Amino acid sequence: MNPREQVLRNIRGAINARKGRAGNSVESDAALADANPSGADYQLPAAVSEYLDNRGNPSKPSLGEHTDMTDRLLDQMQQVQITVTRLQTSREVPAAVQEYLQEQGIDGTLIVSPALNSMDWPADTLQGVPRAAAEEGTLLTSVTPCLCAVAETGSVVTLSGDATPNTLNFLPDNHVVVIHQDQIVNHMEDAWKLQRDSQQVPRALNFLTGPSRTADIEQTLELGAHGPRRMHVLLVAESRR
Amino acid sequence: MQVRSQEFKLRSSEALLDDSLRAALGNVVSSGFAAKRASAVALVPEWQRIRDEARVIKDHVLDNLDSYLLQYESQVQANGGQVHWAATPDDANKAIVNICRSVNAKIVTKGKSMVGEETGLNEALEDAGFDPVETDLGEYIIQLAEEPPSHIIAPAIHKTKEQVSDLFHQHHQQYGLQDKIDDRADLVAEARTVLRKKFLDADVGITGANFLIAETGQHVLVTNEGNGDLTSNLPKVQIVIVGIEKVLPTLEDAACMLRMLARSATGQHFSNYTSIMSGPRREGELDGPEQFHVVLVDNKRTGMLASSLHEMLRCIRCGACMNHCPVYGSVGGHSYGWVYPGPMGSVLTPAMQGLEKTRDLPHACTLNGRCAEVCPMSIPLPSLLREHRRETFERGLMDPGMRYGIRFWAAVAKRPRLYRAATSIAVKVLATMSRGSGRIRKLPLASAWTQGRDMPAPQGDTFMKLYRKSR
Ligand code: SF4
Repeated sequence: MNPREQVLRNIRGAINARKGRAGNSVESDAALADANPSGADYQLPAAVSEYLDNRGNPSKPSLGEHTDMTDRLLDQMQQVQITVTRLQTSREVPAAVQEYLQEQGIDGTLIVSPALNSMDWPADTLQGVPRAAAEEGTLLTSVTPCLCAVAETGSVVTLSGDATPNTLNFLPDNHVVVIHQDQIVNHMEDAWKLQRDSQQVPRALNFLTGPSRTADIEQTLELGAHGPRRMHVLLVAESRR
Repeated sequence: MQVRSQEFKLRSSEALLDDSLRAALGNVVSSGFAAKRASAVALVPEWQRIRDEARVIKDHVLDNLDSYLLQYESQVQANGGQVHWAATPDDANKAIVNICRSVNAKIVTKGKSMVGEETGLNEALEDAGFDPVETDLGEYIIQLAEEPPSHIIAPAIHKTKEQVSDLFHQHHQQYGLQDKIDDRADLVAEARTVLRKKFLDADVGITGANFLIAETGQHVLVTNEGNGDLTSNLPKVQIVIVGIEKVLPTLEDAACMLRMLARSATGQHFSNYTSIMSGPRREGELDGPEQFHVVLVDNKRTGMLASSLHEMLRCIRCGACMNHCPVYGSVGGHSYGWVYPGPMGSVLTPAMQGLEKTRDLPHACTLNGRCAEVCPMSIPLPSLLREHRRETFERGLMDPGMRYGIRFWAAVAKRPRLYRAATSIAVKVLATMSRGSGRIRKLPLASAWTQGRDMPAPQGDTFMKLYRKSR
């Protein structure tokens, strides 16, 4: 018996044993091997999918004293060391990035997501994936768009795709994210909805909730463990079109 | 990994005398995992409802585990990934070694995986000639120290800053980093520099997973450092090693668990990086792995599923039970002698390694019940430990002295008159032994007990006699 059949057989045996189901309702090896011929689209047993259809959705927590989700988001972000600048239109983004870099005294190179390509960036700005520059040891600041921002958790959510390589979230030293006001959603579940709207299951949906951190040395918090040392949000009032 | 739980008594006694461990464990208390958890939970008025729902979800999954795993498998395949099944630790290690061989890997980066610790994956990779590098800072520290983790979410919690500084000094000179540094921020920065190169050079990246989503074939990976994402996204091959009990029906169920995980673990509202992934790089994408593999590990989980320990399979590995355990807080994680410490470890280790070698673990518990109170998955840990104790006794695995002692006590206690006579003699003898001081310094047959404390001598008569008198 290969490990797959063995594990499945053990599981069925265990469930039956505990439910006190009579003796040997464990399928034959052949039935197990057939259970999901490679590549086939397995369908849950009718009783199980019926249970899922009827159970209702799990509870969502209330979002505290905030009535305005933007306030809640900003509050949560502040707690996890995400800084925020508010802008009116996305035309202001490149200048706001420069201003942020100056304010923080950050030099190094700017790298922008292909999705933000059409904005008016300085001539020496890189575009695309950060790997090559990171290998050369270049200090990078990335600028990316996002799928949405979740008020419940204070997270920015990005979706990987042709124009949105997700290593831009992790390799650079600093990460600037552009959020449009109408991209703010209430709960995690709202992000799932947006994912389901996309054609296929994405390779990666990333919730980013503050700069990289560790408390692995004496339980004391330090920022910039492996990912970005700083995370900055540009919150644009104008809708995303 | 080799189990050393049979040395629990010895190791815990040593731990109690280890000053630097005492200082490091002090951090567990003073950094206040417990207090932080309490205030994070207090901010969610719906906590108990979410907790109840989580339990229902997990029990439903465990009742239909085969179906959900098959659904997960077929969805991973639809996303372009491959699924491998492992009944034993050996199956899992072999599958992973084979994948590494097939791409001529050299460097293998690893995100923290407790299942990988279970199977002894690092040793298997080293034996096969690969260079596995732990990238979670805590795991990296204990890999350099060649020690097992002492806490499931803070593996190097037993290490002081000075010890980390020594380890880095010793191991980082090969990278041209000659200076010994002491500052915490500098230590973190140095690890970042060293590991950054490993991330970029790795051929294979291996992580665990916190949850698997049957509906979509995705897995959820939670970290604070971002090391899991660098491990997953940079190498050309991505491997996930995960226990079969981690599967959930839908993303909605994952939301329910995620609401409890970080709060229970560190008192954060949400972990920094919560990533939901599936499959290799899609056509047209500029980054991401070329191959994606998942290894589903049983390793005695189905044995637990069939037994009275099945509730343990709801565990989401948050660590709250050990953060609230007075025994863990005194003896530290290494005393438990294997991968999982604390209350959850005392349930899991005997289930996975057999009670023969681990019989002391279920007894390392005061049955105070705090672990079960804080467990987000409502696992009745003290009852499960009692199950182990019962089995230890029934199978005659106990220390003979203890077994005969209990038998003898039971024989006397079942005969009320004999019991009364015996206790009234004992009261007199003990009172005489204390020579009027009210305390007994040394008790024959119980020297282990009186070594660290005095036994209070009985004051007056037996309870039954006093009760009769005052009636
Ligand atoms: S037993 Fe409960 S408290 Fe302990 S790690 Fe598992 S889920 Fe957390």
